[in-house]
Amino acid sequence: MKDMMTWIFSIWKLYWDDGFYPYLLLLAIAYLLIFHRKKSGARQVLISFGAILFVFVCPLTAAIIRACIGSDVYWRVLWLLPLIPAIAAAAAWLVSTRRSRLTQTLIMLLLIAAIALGGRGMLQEGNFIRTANRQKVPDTVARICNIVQDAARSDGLSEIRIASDDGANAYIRVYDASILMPFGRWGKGALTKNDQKLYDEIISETPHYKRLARRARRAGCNFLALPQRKKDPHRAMAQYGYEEIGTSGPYTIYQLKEPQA
Amino acid sequence: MDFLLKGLLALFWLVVIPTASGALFFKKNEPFSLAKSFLFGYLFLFSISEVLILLFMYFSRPLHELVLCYGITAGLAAAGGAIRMYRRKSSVPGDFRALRGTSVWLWAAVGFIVFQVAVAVVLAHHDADDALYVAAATTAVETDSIFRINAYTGLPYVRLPRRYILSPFPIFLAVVSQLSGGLHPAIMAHTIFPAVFLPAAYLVQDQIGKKWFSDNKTGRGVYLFCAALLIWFSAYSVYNAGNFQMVRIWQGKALLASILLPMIFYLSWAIVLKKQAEHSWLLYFMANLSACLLSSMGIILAPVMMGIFIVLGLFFVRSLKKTALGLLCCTPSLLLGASYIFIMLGRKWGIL
Repeated sequence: MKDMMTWIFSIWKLYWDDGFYPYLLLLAIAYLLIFHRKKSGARQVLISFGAILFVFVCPLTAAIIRACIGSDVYWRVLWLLPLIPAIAAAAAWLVSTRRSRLTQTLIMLLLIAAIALGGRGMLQEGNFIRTANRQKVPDTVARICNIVQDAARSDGLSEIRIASDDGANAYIRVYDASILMPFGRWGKGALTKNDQKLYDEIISETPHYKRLARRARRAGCNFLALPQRKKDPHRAMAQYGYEEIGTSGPYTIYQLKEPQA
Repeated sequence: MDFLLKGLLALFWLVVIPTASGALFFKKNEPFSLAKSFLFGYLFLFSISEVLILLFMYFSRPLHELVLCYGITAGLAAAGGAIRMYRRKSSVPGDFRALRGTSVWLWAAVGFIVFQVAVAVVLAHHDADDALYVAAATTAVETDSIFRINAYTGLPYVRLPRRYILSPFPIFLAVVSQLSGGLHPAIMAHTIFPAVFLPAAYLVQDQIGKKWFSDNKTGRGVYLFCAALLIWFSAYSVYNAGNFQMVRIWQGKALLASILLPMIFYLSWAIVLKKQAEHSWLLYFMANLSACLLSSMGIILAPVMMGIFIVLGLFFVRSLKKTALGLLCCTPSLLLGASYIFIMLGRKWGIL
């Protein structure tokens, strides 16, 4: 029971991280409870908040839901909490019950400051960036795809199979689904042990390039996009028929030039 | 077909069709509103998508047949809705007239929401979860198949991903991409979806605000403005619903958190916890089915939320009929949840 409660509390903390929104939420709930509990909207917020919080906190319901969705995503239960309706409604009543426009504006300015300081802005966190491609995948990945497509076209290849690390794996097939891969993000979808080991080798900080090239050939990869590391891979790669055909950001792109054995 | 024409086609399938088809779900005496019609339309379209995709997947039919079937069904529903609107003499610009004399905060909210949409449409957010959610759509389009090919590799599935096949939102993305003149699913997801679904999320919030502040225009404006502020400043953690709404609205789970769950909150108070239901029960049923389409999490979270309100209804409304109807509305989740367990156990015991 104690362990369960500690775990639930850790999920609560994880969800809010270092934001002050839970305090804003509690303030809003207290304000609605003290000043507006008779209003139907406030009652809806208070009742929903109480019931959902109970389901989240109660060890029995938490255990049942956790068994269904898994402990790693239990925080998603907090999506049910009426956070926006509670804070926004409290703010709306706080402002709209003042008669003077000046007072309303002053309170609004205080609220804006509280919300802005209590959270963190989307641009401030670097969530958004510019891309040159319309698909909005990382430009380095778009360039990798374009380079291998051009190479395949000029060599008359009907199939492209490329292996890379997670930085590129996650977006290659988003940009161009005609490109095949022996594995995807986190090595998912690998069909053989060789493919899995190839993934491990590629993401390694100190890859053994001869082994990597051998496994890549065995996996049927006619292209590789390898993140640049300290060691120079060219000789080892060339030994197995892979030649550099270009670079894209931190990636060097290789093509298998010799027909596969 | 050029990019602009594809964009217009996308807006037709993602704005005009839902708005028209939503008109079918208004009660006889319920006043018509474009915003509600748009939201109800999505509940309907997501619901038929869930049913059609699961059927086409089960019978291993190609994607183009699904596109045709969805297009015809949605088109017929939209035509039916348009006829209904015409017969009821619904005045379409009514919503705009209602905006006259509104609070400055409502306009500030609209301006801030437009800014957020512009940020999401013009700029990019890279989310590695796209490796499955968007790649499943690009794969479906590339191979003209539905969950036959592994999105991670482009090779045939050895074993279907049990967590995702019951919530095939990526296939919905593939379908609307195809209907939009073959617009690339990644462009649809990263550019068109934010332009449509971010305003949709705020429309849900506005419905809640409108209900609570029906005779208080300042209150309604401040409510929506604060909602927009709270969402924008949600970057304090990567787990909260506001963050999901702003940075990856094209993924099913983000739509669940930002549109469907608030919609269920709104519908619960308007249907389950009202003596006289303000909206059709069908909407409550479709909300459950829609949540199932969006995310495997929706199969669990939607009935949890609906269950909470059904229990609250027992206390506050004291109507067994409402309880029974409420439970009936949860059947899609229950059925899909049971299928999920069946598949899991079947695999464990080597039957499937």
